Amino acid sequence: MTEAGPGHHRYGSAVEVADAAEHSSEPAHLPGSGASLDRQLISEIYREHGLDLVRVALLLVGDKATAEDVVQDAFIGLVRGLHRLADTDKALAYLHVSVINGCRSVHRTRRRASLRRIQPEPAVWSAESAVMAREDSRLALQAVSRLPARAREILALRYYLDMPDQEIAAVLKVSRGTVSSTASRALASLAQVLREQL
Amino acid sequence: MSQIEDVLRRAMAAAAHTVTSADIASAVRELEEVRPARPQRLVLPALATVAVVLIAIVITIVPGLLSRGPRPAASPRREPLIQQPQPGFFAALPASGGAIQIRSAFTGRLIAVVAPPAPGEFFSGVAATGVDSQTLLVAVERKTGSPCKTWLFQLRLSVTGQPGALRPAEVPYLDGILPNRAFTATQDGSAIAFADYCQGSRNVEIDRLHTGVSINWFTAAGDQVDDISLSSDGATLGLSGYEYAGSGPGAKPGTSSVRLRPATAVLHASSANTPIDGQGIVVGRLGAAALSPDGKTLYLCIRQGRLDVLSSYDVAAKALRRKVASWAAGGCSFALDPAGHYALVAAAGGRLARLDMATGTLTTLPVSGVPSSAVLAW
Repeated sequence: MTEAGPGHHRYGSAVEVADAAEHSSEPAHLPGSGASLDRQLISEIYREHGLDLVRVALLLVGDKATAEDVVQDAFIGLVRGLHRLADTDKALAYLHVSVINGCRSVHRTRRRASLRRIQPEPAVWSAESAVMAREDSRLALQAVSRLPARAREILALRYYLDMPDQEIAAVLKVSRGTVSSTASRALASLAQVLREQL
Repeated sequence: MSQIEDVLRRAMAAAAHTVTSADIASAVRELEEVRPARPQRLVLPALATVAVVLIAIVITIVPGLLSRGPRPAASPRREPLIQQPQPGFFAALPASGGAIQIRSAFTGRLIAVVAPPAPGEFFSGVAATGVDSQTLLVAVERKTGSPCKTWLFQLRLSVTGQPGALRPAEVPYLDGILPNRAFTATQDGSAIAFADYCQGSRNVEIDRLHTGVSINWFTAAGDQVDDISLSSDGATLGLSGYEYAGSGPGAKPGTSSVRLRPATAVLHASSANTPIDGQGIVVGRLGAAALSPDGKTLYLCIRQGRLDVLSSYDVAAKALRRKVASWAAGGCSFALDPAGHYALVAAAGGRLARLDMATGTLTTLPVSGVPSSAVLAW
């Protein structure tokens, strides 16, 4: 099977844009200057990838409303940076980085909120939420939610978005080896936890 | 893939699919809900730019929004700002059968090219099932050695349209070949239909995969079934092609030629085990045909001069209902989405267009490379 790899993606590979996105709470900074991004392209990207981005954000933050907010912020960041985006091919890669950063920001905010005893919406994998029918799936995601942030991000990008390790490495700004080893450790940890629970 | 990876994929898909297209319809919110940027020197020009862009996006995405007039003040739910045709991906099978293209249904972008499972094999059919979790059913034949065998495989697409491995389908093979790539499946994957051939025997068949029940019709020698479609319940089958109309003198002295006439038919399961009788709804050079999900409308593409014309026919009345759209003549190939709201059209020159079935509006997608003779499965 021959696949059009990430490098051939019309909206670009994260490899090209990761350097522009520091791990901050803000949407990723858009590189370059000059040509502006076609507005039509933004709506096209939203139609094509908006749902996937919200879903992957949901896997990282746990609840739908927050996930939608994170993705909306990412798109607003894209709209605001139109005039600075030199290469439209980098738009999707920018959004991936921006959504990951947004989810990290959510977790930081929640840690602060938990000190003030403010509870977020229950996660979809929590027993209270009761939106996931299969118990084994619920337990698997509960176990994932207890992993370190980077491991959660790698697993979501790899097993939900089917993103190649090289692209994950670019989004998360780590080496490909780190992606691979982190994923291996996470899978081993999950296997052990789930063996005990199921 | 290890067992834990399998569990993880399944769990993530289950959680992710608690978010649907409807949930994110209002994600691009109205201008007043956009949070202002942090104070900076150019905050007002930046906000003005955002305002203009967002308004332009809304107008671009929902052309009919302004013409609908003011919304009721007490509307309990916002109008969806972005319509998403579903599913997000479709397959194109060129006449050569050498590969299947997986493309975005929104932009036409080529996502992947799938090769046959082994050298010496080619694809002879493709059908799409599912909406959120798309799976293709593909038919594979060998160029030599197996004159009456077609193997069926499943090809699951990820949420980004990336195909997984080819896996044997629930029905792993058919006892016949698909000479004209006439192969389809219901959206839920519970039934397939095809027109096959084996050692002089021609057959049109619906197979219900979960129960093993088969429904057959016979076609006469010389008949040619080019295209086949099913209603969503798998109980009604539409086909188009050519009926054998006898032999006659050929163009060269001493030769003879087969005469064919265009034919269409809509078959109900109750008429099984009978010869197919073309009902002659239309005459002309036929292309693809597709039944609406409810089985009450048959959409037919007919070559008319330099145009391919798509028209809808009332199945019960066997009468033309309306002309839906026309475009520069190509292969008269199109595919309906499972809801029957949109069609993808393979137009001349490798171009691709999306057709709104209600309004007849054709939107050209910014891609090329889709052969106009390709079979499309959406």
